[in-house]
Amino acid sequence: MKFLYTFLTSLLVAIAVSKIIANSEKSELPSYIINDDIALNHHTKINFDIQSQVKPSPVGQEQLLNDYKNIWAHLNHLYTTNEVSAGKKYYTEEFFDALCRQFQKSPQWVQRHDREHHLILTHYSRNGLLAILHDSLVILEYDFPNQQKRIEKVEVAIALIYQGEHWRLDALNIKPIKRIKKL
Amino acid sequence: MYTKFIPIILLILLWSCRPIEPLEIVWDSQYDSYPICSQEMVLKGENLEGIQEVYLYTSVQNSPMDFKTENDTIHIKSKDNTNCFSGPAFIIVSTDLQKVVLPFEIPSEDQVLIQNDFRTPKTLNTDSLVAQQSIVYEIGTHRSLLPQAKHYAQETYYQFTPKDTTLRAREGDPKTAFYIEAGSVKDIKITLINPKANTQKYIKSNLLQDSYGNTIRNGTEGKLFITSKSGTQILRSYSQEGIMKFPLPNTIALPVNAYLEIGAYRSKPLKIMSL
Repeated sequence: MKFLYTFLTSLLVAIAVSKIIANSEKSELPSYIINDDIALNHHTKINFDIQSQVKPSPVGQEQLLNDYKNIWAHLNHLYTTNEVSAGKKYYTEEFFDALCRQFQKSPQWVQRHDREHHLILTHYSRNGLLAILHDSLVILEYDFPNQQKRIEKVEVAIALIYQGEHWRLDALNIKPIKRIKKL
Repeated sequence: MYTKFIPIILLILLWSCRPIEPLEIVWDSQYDSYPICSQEMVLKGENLEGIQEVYLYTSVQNSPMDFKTENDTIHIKSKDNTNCFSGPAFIIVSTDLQKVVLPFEIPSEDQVLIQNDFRTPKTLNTDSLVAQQSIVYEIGTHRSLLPQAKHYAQETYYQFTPKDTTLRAREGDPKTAFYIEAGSVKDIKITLINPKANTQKYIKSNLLQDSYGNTIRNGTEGKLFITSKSGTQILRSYSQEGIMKFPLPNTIALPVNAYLEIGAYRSKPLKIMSL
């Protein structure tokens, strides 16, 4: 009887511990607690100009630029790894849905770095929740397998919506400045 | 005894040290311009036997491609879930030891999937200018921001007539609704309603309207200040169809002066001598 009691108690404790471990693996910390290493380790140079009729405050400009840099950090990470969820706090729900259509693991053959930006704020909503930006010259550097490198000059148009304490990417258009030569 | 295997071992070693045949791949000559991301692409090349994987790198994501080799030709096709983001793109063909990179370009889309009309503010008040900012931008199938006549969005300022109403930026889409609301009350008047004896007495306002004749919103708060020798009593009420009613307490010590205050405006005092 004593043996049966000990066995049942141990079984219940084991089930409770396994449940706790299983739940702790599933739970996700709020984004403001997690250190965003991808954004922290990203460095680029941005020249910024405002041409919109409505202008953001100096604090608003700083946040817009910071989030823009972080968006590029996550776009580069996504480019290499296809990890859609790493930068999800920088995408609107609709953009995230579009990314999630394609989430196969990547072989990580190519790395991309954004070296320089010439950013113009063309439209800014009066309530500070929408920004349309035109990055007239972005220098992108690609590291291919076998130590090959390539530099592309592109222009980028981007629509950002301010949601949940971040500017989030809603739509973008990337266009090479010079036509790319076919091999 | 083992010496007879030496030539065989040497032969195997010699075969394994042979130079790797380079993988040579180019776009098929049928392409005057770039291949289309969502359609089958054709590549030509040599030594295609060892191809293991083909990947498409768009400007945002990368994706494995379905491929089929026939003699000197590779037919590749993107999968159904591939996002063809516009911009510089690469096809990478991989064997065990080599990778060939083929750059090309995915042009901007021209098919509009969504048109976002972002209005600010959403609620207008006739006290202000009744002017609204509209920023319209269009999104294509693969979340591409589509070019407009000038820039990538169109900004317009609308001036509305100061009439209390609900409008929509896009017909038939309730999510795009915005509102023009009545402003501050222009003229406040109160009267004593004194029906038959032993029934409830109350003070009633006129029809409360703003400067443009719009009836104020239901639920607007008003305060009735009743001042007598013994002090001031404040009664609160909320408008219904532009009218406010304040039932008077039976304990009221006459005579009293009463006035109604709504926001920053108030009525002329009403003197009540008897009930």
